[in-house]
Amino acid sequence: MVDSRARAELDVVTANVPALIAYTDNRGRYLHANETYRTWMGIDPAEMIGRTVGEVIVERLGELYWRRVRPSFERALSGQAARFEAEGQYADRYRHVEVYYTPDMDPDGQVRGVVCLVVDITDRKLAGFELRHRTMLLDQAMEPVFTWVFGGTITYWNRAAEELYGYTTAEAVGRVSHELLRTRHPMPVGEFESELSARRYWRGELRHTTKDGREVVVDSIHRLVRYDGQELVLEANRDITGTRQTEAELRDARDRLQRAIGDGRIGVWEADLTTGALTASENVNELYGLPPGSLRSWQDLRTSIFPEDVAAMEAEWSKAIARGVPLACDFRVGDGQGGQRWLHVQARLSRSPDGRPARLSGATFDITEQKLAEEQLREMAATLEARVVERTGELAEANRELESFAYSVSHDLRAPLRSIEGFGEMLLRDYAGRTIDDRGQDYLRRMSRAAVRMGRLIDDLLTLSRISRTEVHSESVDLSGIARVEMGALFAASPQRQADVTIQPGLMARGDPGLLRLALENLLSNAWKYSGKSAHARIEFGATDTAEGRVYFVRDNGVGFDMRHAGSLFQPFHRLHPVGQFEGTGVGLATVHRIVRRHGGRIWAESGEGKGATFYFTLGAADETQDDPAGRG
Amino acid sequence: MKRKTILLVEDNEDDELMTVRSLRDGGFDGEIAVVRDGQEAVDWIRGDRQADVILLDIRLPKLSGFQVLEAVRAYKPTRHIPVVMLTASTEQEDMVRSYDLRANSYIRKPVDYKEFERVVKSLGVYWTEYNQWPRMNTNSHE
Repeated sequence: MVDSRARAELDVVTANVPALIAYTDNRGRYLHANETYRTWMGIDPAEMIGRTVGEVIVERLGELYWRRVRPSFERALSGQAARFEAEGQYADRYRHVEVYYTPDMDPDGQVRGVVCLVVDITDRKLAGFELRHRTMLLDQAMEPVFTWVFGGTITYWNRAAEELYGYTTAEAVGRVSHELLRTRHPMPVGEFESELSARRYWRGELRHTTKDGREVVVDSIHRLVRYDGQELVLEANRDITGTRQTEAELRDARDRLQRAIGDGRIGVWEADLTTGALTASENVNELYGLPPGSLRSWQDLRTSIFPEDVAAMEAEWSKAIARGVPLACDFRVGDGQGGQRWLHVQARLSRSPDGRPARLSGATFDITEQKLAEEQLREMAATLEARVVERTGELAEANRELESFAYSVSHDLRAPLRSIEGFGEMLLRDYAGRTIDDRGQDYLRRMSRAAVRMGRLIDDLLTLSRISRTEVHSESVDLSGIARVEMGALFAASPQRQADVTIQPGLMARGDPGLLRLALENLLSNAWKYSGKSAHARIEFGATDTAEGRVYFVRDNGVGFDMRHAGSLFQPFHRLHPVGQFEGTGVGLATVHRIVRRHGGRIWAESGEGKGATFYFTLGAADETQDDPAGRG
Repeated sequence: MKRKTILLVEDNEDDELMTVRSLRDGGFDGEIAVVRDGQEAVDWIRGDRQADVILLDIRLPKLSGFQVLEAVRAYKPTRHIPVVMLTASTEQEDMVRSYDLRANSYIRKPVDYKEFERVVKSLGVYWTEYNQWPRMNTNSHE
């Protein structure tokens, strides 16, 4: 039982507690209720006395609330303490509450009454809700956010963190963040931690390693907060790996450009045509041979140009501005040290939106070295040309001399020979048998023969020299026909001789008709000459087609020669037989050799002493071998 | 019958001697006038004497055989006279040029005297006989 005095004391004690405090009897009727009921429930606590808990709650908080509360209260009436949370619309506001029903037992263990305590937990509840809500938002955040206990392990890990680092929340929570991410700080870790704890904030660039071993660069913000009695680090990171890469590439490109421009050979500028202002890289001044900062207006770009180059330059400028033609021209400037420098300017016009010329953007190059090289090349070419002209002149002079020499040889050298021979002959004719005996006559005949021989030598030499001097024509030549004519002539000159002659019909060659006739005549007359002592002389002219092309041959069964001397066969004046044995000057094969060579072909021989000889020759690429199948000619 | 005249233009005395002898051996009994250079030759033909045939060397002092030939062909009273080039030159070009300038024949002097003799003999006979044929042959060239 509670007497009135005790009740008054209880009132005082409980009045200012921000909770509902009440006491009921063992049938659930209020015996006491504190002042807080007035504010929370809008009821005078005094009026509650004697009414049941159920009545008051239904009246003030509604049927639903009572249904939620009633089982716990009835359990308390039966002697079991109850603690639960509930929520509802109280008189002043909506409340989350924690309710304690504690049975009051008498010494016999009988329930005497129930103590009711209702504590407002709305703020705590809402704070929890807010946290959940924020967590949801953080999970939606695009950027990795996670929390970790300062000096301890990760407590929260959002979805973006999962995506960036590859670790799931389950894998990350409970791990030490800098171990998990192999964090590389821009400063010693101790320094980093003391700065964070002192300023409770840190921002900087960190390098993390992801689960698959990739290194990422993040712009990181750390905030140190106190939460639930712990120092918690809120870490929010922004992945800037790509940005850093782009920046590095950009830096690289800038460096390279700088290096290219850096040697002072390329200057870039932009001229504003309305204001005349010139924006230029510093080296443009240098290129123009001017002190730094000299070029201010675009008119200045023309100041130090050599006077003789100004007109051409002006023409290009006006053309570029008037017609929008890309400007490109070369000109000279002083180099500021008394010398000159060649510059090349290239520029392009941009127009204002209304179509008027607005800006000229250009680049200026130092092309001095290039110009010098060009000039040297021109000089060299000119020198070379002069030298060629000189040499050609010398050659022509030498040729003229050779020709006049040949002329002198043919004309003047032969005249005395003719005299020797002629007067020898006359001596023989007029005085033989009278004043000159047989021996003297023999001497005279030898003299005559020698003179005639020398005359032939001179003729042959002239022929040889003429082969080198004359131009080789390219015509279709009937070699079979030439061979037939020549053999006919040889038979006619020595009617007493017998020989089997085989000439392959229809052999057409491409070359100089006169020279080829001369070559063939020489080879055939050689064959004729050296087979002269054979009982059954055989002479053959023909051709075989080989991989090298067509090979012509002249074959005889005459005396032949020792192959050991084949090397000197085609040298002028070189004979393999004594003069007395076979006639000839030793120039014939040299002549053939030269003719064949001038046609781009080659000549060689096969022989053996007493085994006859075969001379082979080709006529080079020009010989198309278009034979006459009819064998006409 | 009128006595024939051969004008021999030859600077080489040996050649002159051999030529004259060959002509005589060939039976030529007319007059053989000899001049030693080109200028003399031109002067001779422009003079009052007339040659029936001219034997002309090419390499000559003062005026060349070609120049003499041109002068002969350019001068109306002499343009019909047969001219035989008798030269030591074996150059093809000299022969071509001679015919271009309207020489009647071109003979290379052989070193072999017998050949030389044969050529000159026939030459003397032919050209002197030619001039006995009716004049219409030469008129037709004018």
